[in-house]
Amino acid sequence: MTDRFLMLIICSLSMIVCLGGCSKKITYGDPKGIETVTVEFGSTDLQKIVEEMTRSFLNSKVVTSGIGPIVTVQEVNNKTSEYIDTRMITDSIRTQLSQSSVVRFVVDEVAMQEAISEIERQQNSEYYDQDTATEKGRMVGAAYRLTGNVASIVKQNSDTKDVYYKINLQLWNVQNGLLEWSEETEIRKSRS
Amino acid sequence: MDKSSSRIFGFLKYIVLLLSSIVVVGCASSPICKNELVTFINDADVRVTGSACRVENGYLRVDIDVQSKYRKERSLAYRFDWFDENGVLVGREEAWKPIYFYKKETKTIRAVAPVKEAIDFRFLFKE
Repeated sequence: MTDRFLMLIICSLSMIVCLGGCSKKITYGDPKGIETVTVEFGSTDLQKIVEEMTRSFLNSKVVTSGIGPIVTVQEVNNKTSEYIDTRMITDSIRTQLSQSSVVRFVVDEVAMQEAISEIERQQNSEYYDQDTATEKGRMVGAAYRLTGNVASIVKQNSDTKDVYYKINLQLWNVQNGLLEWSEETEIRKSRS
Repeated sequence: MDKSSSRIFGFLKYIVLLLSSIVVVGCASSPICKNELVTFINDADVRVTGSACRVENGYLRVDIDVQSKYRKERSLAYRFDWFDENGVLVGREEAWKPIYFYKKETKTIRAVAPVKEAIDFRFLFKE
């Protein structure tokens, strides 16, 4: 009887320990906090790049001259060996710049097909009042195009991994091909 | 120089003196970076040794000299909060940015306000 009772207590305690150990605690974190889970490209890197690039762009001659540049965002090439969604970089930069109200953006190459489809849908559908339907040939052309590169150098041995990122953005004048603004930022991360 | 001319000259002298004092008072009471708040979180062992503020292209620019008191190399983090003339927080919340210090190194951190309304800042630093 005593042995059975002891076994029951031991089993119950084991189950409690197992359940306690197995359950994962879920918490909310600071989305603006420093993230150092791995050396790969992360949220802190993205936020650092976006902030530095946006502030630099807002202080560039093309913006401070007051012309209100109209910009299209082109691909930022990922020249690193890892997968980086460079669209996240340009989307965030575009969002922050558009909130400044001194830079305007036109539909980019990626979203162009969607824009055309919408115009054609309004033009060709009998359900739309043709007086209010969007006309063809009214889109505004960009005077400038924003493009860039993300590159990295990775060095690794049995103990250490070192990653160096270099991010470069450029604003080109579409009409005359002049480089109007360029900025570069660097990030170094190590794991040892 | 007759009496009336010297009177006019004396009057003009006072006007010039008055105007120059207004300019001096105007500069001295400039609201740019009046408070310059500095906050250290988690007792980061660093010291702010100097700071400078100026407005360029309408945006507030800040330089802050920070000296690490650590005896080893250290990766720390900083960010800024920006305030308008009414002391209201402006712009999006900034991300914490990593900064690397060699032992006892002094670095100048440069920042530009995100909006033209910003005239003051709070500098936050943490381990």
